[in-house]
Amino acid sequence: MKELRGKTNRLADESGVITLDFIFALSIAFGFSILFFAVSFTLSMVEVCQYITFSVARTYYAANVSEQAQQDIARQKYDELKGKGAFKTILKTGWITLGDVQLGNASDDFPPGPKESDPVFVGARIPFNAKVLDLRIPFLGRTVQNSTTGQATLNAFLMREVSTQECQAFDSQRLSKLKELNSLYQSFGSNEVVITDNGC
Amino acid sequence: MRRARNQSGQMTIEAILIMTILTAVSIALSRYFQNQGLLADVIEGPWKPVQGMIENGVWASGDKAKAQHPSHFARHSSNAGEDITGK
Repeated sequence: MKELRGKTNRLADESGVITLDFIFALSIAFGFSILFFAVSFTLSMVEVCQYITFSVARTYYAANVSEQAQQDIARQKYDELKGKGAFKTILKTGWITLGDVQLGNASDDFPPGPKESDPVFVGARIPFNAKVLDLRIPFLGRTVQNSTTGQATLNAFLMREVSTQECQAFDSQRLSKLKELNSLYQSFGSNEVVITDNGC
Repeated sequence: MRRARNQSGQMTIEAILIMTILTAVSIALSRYFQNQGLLADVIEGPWKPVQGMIENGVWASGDKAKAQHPSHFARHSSNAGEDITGK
């Protein structure tokens, strides 16, 4: 009788149910918490990286001796921003990755606008990939099936100021055209001096 | 006869049966979620318009977003200037 009572009590004991509930609920809640963290982290990092892209585009924009010099200083700025402080640590985790910055005219990647000849897509582009979004949640599966999810290209098209080299080439070309206008102008030799005021 | 009337093990069998059914349903639901990619839809569905906003500043996806990039607007910097008097 005593033995039977013991068995009945064991069946009526519900103390293990809460443990099972806890394990199941904790797995799901933890999974979703990680997922929401990944989404908010990605969006925050997009904001930071967009500022970096803007900063690189702004550096690329400023006049310099040549376009190559403008590109070099923009890349230098990019490396400097990537390699500093907390952002450097975040990049080291591999949760997000940033590709090489692309500088120049990106018109080929966009459909033609109302003014097709205008190179309005001149600036900086940085490939962004949020690998942190690719998670495996217990019981529910993977969060990413398409490998392009989490990828985006950050754009900042601020145009570019004319470089000194381009300005001098333009002036030289203009001088040749002026000389062609009239035979009298041909008498101009090499005595003329071209003065540029940091712009054409 | 006494042994046949003894109902002490019935509860255990029912508990095992219920646990088996619940486990089977849980596994089936879990597989359904994974095969249908329901969780992936939570991320991949909204990502396309978000990508459009990141790249082009509009809530659209793919080429539709690229066509609406602000650089297409006629109000970007221009050497020629624009007539704003409406004449």
